[in-house]
Amino acid sequence: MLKKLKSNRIPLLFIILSVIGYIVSGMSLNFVMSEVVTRILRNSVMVLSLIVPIIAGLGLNFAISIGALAAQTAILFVLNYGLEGYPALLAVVLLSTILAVAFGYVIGAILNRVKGREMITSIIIGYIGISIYQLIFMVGFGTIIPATNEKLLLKSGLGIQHVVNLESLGGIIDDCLKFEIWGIKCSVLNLVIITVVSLFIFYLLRSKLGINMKAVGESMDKSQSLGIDVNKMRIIAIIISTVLAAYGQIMYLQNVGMLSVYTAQSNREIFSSAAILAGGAGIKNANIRNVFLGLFLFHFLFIVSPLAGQTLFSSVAIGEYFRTFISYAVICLAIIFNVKENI
Amino acid sequence: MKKFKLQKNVLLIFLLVMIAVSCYMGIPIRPLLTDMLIRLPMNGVFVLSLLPMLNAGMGFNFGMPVGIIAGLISISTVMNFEITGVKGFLCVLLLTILISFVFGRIYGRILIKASGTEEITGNFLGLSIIPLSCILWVTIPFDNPVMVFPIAGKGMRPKIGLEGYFDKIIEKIFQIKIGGMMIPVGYLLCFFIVCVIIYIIFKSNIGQNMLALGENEAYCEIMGLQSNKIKMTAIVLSTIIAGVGICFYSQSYGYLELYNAPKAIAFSAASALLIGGCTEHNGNILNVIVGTLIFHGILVFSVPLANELVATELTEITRSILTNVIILFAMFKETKKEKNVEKA
Repeated sequence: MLKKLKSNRIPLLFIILSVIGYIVSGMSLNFVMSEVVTRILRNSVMVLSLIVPIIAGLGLNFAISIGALAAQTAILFVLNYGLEGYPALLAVVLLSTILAVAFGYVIGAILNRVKGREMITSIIIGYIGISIYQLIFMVGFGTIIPATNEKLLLKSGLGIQHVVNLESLGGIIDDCLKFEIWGIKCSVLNLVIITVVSLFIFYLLRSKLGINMKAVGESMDKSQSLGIDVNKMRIIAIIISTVLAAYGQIMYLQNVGMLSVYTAQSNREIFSSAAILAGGAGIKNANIRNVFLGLFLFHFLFIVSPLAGQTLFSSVAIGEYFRTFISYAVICLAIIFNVKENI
Repeated sequence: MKKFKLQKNVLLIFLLVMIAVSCYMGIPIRPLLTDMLIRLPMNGVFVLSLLPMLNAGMGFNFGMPVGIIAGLISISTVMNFEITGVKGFLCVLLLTILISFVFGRIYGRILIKASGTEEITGNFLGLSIIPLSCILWVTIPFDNPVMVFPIAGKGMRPKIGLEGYFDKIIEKIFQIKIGGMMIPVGYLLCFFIVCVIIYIIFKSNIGQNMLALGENEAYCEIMGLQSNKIKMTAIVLSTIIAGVGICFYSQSYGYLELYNAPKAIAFSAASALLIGGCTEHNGNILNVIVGTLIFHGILVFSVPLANELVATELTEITRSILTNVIILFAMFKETKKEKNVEKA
């Protein structure tokens, strides 16, 4: 009993904080729930992308922001060539898959050279990726890359606008066969995608590939002596993660309906990691239950905390800073717990 | 050892090429050189603050915001009591050392629990203390009209001018003008005094223990050294120097930057130290000085060049790419070296 309590201390902390926040804020349960469900639908694929690297022993993959960048690049290119509707969506998915596989391979190769400190390296890779992306779209667009869609360009003719409307891509997944239960909006396609991705991960982890990955995560030396190609397994794990992150960003952006070109990817990796940890995952173990429980708890707290701050301290900002603090602190706590368990 | 020097030389040549191109394009380089000299003490203290933890075998102190926020709290407190001038700045330094000592103790207690993963834990500790400090800035009951929002009457502004308080208070000591170049002799001297203090600490018993711990932790335990105690000293020392660093930085910059500003400082400091030629287990004061000069030299010269050649936004992006690529390369090399040791 005590052991179970100990392994679930982070979810418990979140439950306590959420309940306090909910009571203090005095929001209606119906409103909070509909907001939470919207956010779960929007973010779940991104958070699901974190599972595979954790299983393969790479820890939290903060380089999923690169996957998000792949999706954003794909969307910008498709908008630039003026595609619309489902062909556009298909093109975005295809292009972002290609980009994400390529980026994932590079990230995996880099992380294979820094075994033992993958997490800090993946943060730095994320920073570099974001800088290069900003460089490309601030300077390269309109000069090196020909802009066929004039609407995207800044007035100076150099660089892309800060906010781009997704037009026909906005809500394209959300509007497909949509229905409503108790005021909560939902669409069939949305649910299908999330289920497919969850099942994919579920069966992947039970396949031969997944078992090999688990072995690599347990001990690299032992897997090596068993004849498993450790480096290859790790690269595959990162590629899967990056591709899923790209799909996650597409889901997110189509729900939001517009793309803040230079800032849409910011903090996505932190909030996703915090969400999966809130569900009780660790640096070395995670499953699908953790993802959905974590998403629920994390976003519940995220929604109630600004209003709770408003009623307690008469300032919305305090609640917002508090939730940012919680997301960073949870990651920090998880790392410390992991060190303790290893000793 | 030679490999690390290569990196330094490449960037030094890059800097020299930039200076040459600036000359060729007719950009006045004398004010830029002055700026480069001012940036040495301005940012060098941050780079210095990495040394104790690096030499004690804990890697780069990405949790530098802990010390920086201690410094920011003391500056704003002293400003609230309207103590100005040299007396005020001495108060600031004293208060910074006190507050960062306390913060460093707390930070150290958490970090010691995460032995082996200090860099990533420090990074997230630093990131999580920033929103906490934001809460402090919003709620703190200061009432100096220079600092608080004018209409609401409470809550600190994100950027506070230091004019009339400590604006350029060390920088202005004993400036000499030679051939159109202002040389801030007093400022450089102050920086060298800080360097000498650190040098003495490393030559003392405490510092020698830190170096020994960085070399081999297991051996230190056998020798009867209490590794946790030495680590704590190193962490507290790093935090205090980082606190002093923000005092140096703010007075030179002329503004006090609150809220999310301390986020990126640790990364550029680590990058500067790596350019100076430190390894990931050992760095010295010469590395700090050379690295800071080259790193900030490149930044200073890239601003007018970027303006002439392409777009203005480029400078910030260049800085970010340069900083992170250098840290990434350092991580490659270090892991490779560890592997070789294992094989031997």
